[in-house]
Amino acid sequence: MSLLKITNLKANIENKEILNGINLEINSGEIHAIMGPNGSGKTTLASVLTGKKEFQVTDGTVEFDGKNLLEMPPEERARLGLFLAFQYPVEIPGVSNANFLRLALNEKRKYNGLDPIEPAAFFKIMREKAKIAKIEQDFLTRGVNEGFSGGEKKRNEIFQMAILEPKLAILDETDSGLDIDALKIVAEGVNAMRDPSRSFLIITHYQRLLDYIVPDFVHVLFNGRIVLSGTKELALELEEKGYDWIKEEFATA
Amino acid sequence: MKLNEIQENLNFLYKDGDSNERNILESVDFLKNNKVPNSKIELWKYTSLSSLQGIDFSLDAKEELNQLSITKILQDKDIPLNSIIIPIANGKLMNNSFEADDRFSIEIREIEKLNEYAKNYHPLQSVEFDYFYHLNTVLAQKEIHLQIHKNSDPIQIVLLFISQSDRNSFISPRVRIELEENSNAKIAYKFINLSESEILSNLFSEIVLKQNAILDFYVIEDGLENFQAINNINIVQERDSKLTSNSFTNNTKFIRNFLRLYFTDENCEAILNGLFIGNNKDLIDNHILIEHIKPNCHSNQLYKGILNDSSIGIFNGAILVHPNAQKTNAFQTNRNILTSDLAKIYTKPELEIYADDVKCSHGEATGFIDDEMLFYLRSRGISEENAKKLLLQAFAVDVLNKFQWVEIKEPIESHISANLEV
Ligand SMILES: Nc1ncnc2c1ncn2[C@@H]1O[C@H](COP(=O)(O)OP(=O)(O)O)[C@@H](O)[C@H]1O
Ligand SMILES: [Mg+2]
Repeated sequence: MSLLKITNLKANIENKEILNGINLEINSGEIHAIMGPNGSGKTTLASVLTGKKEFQVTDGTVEFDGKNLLEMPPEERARLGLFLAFQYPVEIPGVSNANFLRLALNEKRKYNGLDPIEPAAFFKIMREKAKIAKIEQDFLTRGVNEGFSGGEKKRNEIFQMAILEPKLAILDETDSGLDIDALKIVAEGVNAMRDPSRSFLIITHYQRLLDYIVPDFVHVLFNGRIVLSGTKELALELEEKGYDWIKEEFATA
Repeated sequence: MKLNEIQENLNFLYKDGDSNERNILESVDFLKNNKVPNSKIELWKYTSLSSLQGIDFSLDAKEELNQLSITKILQDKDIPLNSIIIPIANGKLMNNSFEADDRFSIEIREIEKLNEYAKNYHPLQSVEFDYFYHLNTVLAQKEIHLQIHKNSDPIQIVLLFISQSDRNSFISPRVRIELEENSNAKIAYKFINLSESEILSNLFSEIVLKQNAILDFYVIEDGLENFQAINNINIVQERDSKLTSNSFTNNTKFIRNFLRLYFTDENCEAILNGLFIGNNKDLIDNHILIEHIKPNCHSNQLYKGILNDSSIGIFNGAILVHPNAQKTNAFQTNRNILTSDLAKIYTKPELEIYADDVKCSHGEATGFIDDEMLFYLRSRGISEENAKKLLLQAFAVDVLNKFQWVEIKEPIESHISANLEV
């Protein structure tokens, strides 16, 4: 069943064309990887899908779970089951992880016609999910990402994903800057959440992460367009040959 | 009577004085020779009194309060109940509504001579040049005098400034507090307005901390419709005394807080925390003057403002370090968030330093709600409105965390986080 269907998506920022007609379809339960050189538009794609208002969509459509994604505000997209693990998670001093996540979960539940979760029950869920992302208890009461190291921020994203249980999780270079142990934690977190009704879009610069999270499909994004698609072997090929040949071959495309 | 008509009626308001009312006569004189301040005066540049000028005030608000309404206030208005409650209705002390206690005494007195420090030092900001100080002196004529006895056990006192009148009224509360040596008090000034007519409250208060006294002081102005207040508060600290001053202003039409603080001897400490939230067309003005007169004193101010709608905030923090006030530490921080394009903040530090061995700093920053943070919260499913509230709460929390009186702090906290639940 098709969960996400992107058709000819084009987007601008400050009159600069960044996405030049993206086509991508993700079915429930699938893992897709998007690779590509820096500046090719990977983060922009994630931002447009989650509804960052700085980017203007100039053409194309996005269907998510049968609904027109592009006309919804970011919070509604999230409540429908879209989640982004940010490449650079922002620090929000003074807003505690626990308060913020309980509010997020309860807003989502309300949207879906469910009763709110009481604090005690929520703390139980948090403690369980904290194990998945291997995060310490004191994370929960600290400010959102406040004073976290790079690796801690990435694990906090995985933790939030585990709490919110999205239908589609986009991971934007969650592996960048992580050592091998931290990388494994992220991969285990994702694998623990694999489910026939949940899909992943893994944005990565390197093939390394895909040794641990095995994708069903791999796409190469370049100059705002998907120029190649294949299976996990494509990632290995890119690892071996680098991105230069992509740049040469598709420079004029 | 309108504000600018008081001047012409001074002879009627205050006829003949005998010699022990010299203080009042001085004030009559000042008012005769000066006009209601306007924006040409530096200290009133951004604090327009024009919204008050048109109102016809009565000068003798009737006291219609009884014990019943006090009981109701105590139930409704988040008053810390484990404290001594002193109700002051329309500026007048309500008698016998509190029980005697050997830690303090209270009486009505002739207005005492101002502490000399307020007169002799910083002439531009001295209370001697303050129109509303003199107006209070003439109209109040007597003062409520609260004495905290020396070496007494810690005490918690709430002064309830209640206004109630069926017509527009000008009230003039006048309170003097003396904390004797080695006393330790928490004192809150809490304003309650029960009136549906317009109230202009012009408070003057002098607080003296004797040697080694400790005061945790609160001024709470919250949810005061039809209420405009000018609060002149002078605090004089003597040797080894410690002050924490905490101010919270929210949902109030017009507030001018002028806090003047004088370190008159060595080794004093003052921590000043302020949180102000403006809505609609509220105007909130916090003027602070701290005079480091003697060496080895320490002051630290943290004021934060949230200005919504078309509200106006003013923060003016003056620190004056006198020539022999060596080893002074004086720090000041003011941060503000504007949540609307129509809201305004005027912030101005004024440091005058005449000693060389001092550590002084100030920092001001004003901004809007951070877009990146807002997007992050919304991307997790939190509505834009709740996300903004969370961020504003986070902005306010470090000031509120400094409020040590839990029964005062908690209702403010829950007030700020109200409506967050889904
Ligand atoms: N906020 C922005 N303002 C202007 N240009 C931007 C902004 N964000 C991204 N870009 C530009 O869009 C292009 C794609 O960036 P991005 O999507 O971050 O690439 P990637 O994630 O693939 O490295 C780059 O040329 C970048 O400079
Ligand atoms: Mg990127």
